[in-house]
Amino acid sequence: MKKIWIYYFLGLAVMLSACDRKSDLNIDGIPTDVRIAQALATYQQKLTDAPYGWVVTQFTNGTSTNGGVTRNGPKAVFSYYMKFDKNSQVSMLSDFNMGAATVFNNTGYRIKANQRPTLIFDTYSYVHLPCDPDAAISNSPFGSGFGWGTDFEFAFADNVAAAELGDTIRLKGNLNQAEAVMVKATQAEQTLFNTNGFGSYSTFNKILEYFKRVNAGGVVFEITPGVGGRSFDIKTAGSQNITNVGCQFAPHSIILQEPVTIGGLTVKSLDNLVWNPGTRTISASVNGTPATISPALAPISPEPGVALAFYNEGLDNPWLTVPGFHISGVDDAYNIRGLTFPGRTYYRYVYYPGLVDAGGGDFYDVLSPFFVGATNGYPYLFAGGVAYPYLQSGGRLTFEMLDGGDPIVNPPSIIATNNVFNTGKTAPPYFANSAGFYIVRKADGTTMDMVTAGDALGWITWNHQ
Amino acid sequence: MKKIFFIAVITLLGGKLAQAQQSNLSPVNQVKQGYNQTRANTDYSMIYLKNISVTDTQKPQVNKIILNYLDAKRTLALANKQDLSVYRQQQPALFNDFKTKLATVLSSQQMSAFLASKPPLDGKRNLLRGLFY
Repeated sequence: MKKIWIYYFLGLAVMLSACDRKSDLNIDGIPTDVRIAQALATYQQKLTDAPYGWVVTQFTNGTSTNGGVTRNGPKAVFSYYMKFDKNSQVSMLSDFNMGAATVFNNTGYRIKANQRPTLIFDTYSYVHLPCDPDAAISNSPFGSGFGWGTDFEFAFADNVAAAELGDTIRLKGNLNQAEAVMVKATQAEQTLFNTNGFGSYSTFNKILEYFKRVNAGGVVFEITPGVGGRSFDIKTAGSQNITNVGCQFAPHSIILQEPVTIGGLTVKSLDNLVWNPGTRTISASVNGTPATISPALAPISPEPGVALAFYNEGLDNPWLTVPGFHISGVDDAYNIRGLTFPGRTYYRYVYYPGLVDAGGGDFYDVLSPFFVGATNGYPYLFAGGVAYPYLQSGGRLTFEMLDGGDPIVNPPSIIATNNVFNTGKTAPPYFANSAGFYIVRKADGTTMDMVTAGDALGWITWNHQ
Repeated sequence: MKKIFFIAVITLLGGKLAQAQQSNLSPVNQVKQGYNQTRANTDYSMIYLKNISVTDTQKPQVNKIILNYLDAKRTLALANKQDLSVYRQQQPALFNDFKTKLATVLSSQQMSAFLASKPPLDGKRNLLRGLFY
């Protein structure tokens, strides 16, 4: 009996000592909760103490995650100018689009103790635009339900105490692990952002043509949009090499993620961009050499046989896209993503060559939207969605959109799209014969852009996804 | 009663399985499968006999005859795409067979109207070319 009592008191002593939390979690006599609150306050103070704000650059890693599913796609860089205040509000600019590049957006932020101290942009802001799972908003090429692989909750990733953070702060996204770097802005930078916003973005995008030709002291190269439009594909005359490089927009410069060597010139950035409305060109400098960026109507170095290769590749492997034509600076200008048909859901716009009998052993192509949810997924096919293709000189592909006589009425978005397919131009005056399309292979080797040869102001991006 | 319940369960499971299979298809395969379904469900009388009044009774038969004919033409064309002279040689026989079958469904007046709609060989913008050549 005595033994039982001994064990009983011993056990009780162990239990009580295990529950004691008087001092071992305290450091310098400050309880954990207080220390966490102090650290979070210090993080916030670091952000708000930057008198001229922060330049924030977010780099994706080429993946995008939603609901536990991860997809691969192109990498991207997004830049922001942010000014944090003590009332948990942040005002920002972004190089996401023309509006965000010049108009400040005010939104809320929080510093919260998650697994690591975390900066959360907790109301919808420019930071959320590239994250948006609605591709109509994010313009993400990762597919429906997936943004660009950017984040809006970031852990502080410097592994130092909040008080020791310097003028550069590194962050890591909690969902997509996108990396972000915050650099304290100078007064001069603040003035530039306040007056011009992301001026280089606005200036560069004043040239609406697909092909942009850069001439820096006689070294000429071509810039076309990379897949998804957040990087550059660079080509030179006489070469089929395509260099894809990420680009970061600043008030007056476009900084390339890696230097690109072209004809002995190492291009790290395009600086001092100034728009010349009279000539519709941009004056700039590359390594101090004066340069001009001009629109071009044709590729600098067309890939031989690419139009036929594009046609042949689609014969048993249809080309697909979700958004319709990008026209004069507007993505999915005719809102193809918004197409509806009773009882069906829009799925893809399809270019499927060689399917509809044209007689004499020839075949027409299918160039029509596909819907899911019913047995007839191509309700507009015989109302103008059958295309007669022609291979033209100079590697252009032209189409004649044929009306099969189906009395179904095409919505305005399809009428406008078919008009571009028919003419190879985005607006009148139209030529007697269609100008057709240049087919441009992108750096990933699997994506093809179809560019209006009549004005280079419209393009549609095809792949097999 | 048990049987009805059993059949209902099987139908429901079958439907779910088909739906799951469809959603598992890659976008390319979904689009391809969708085209085949569209072909099988297209009202060809509306496209190829558009100026001829075809009754609701005639329609399914006409559509089936046209679909079978188009399939036979496609097989012939693809088998001889390197030398289309073989296609041109053999296509008239296919067309005659098609005409004979169509005549069993359409009235002589409808047949005459259909044959009168033949486009010229170089009328490449006319989808009817797909039937006659």
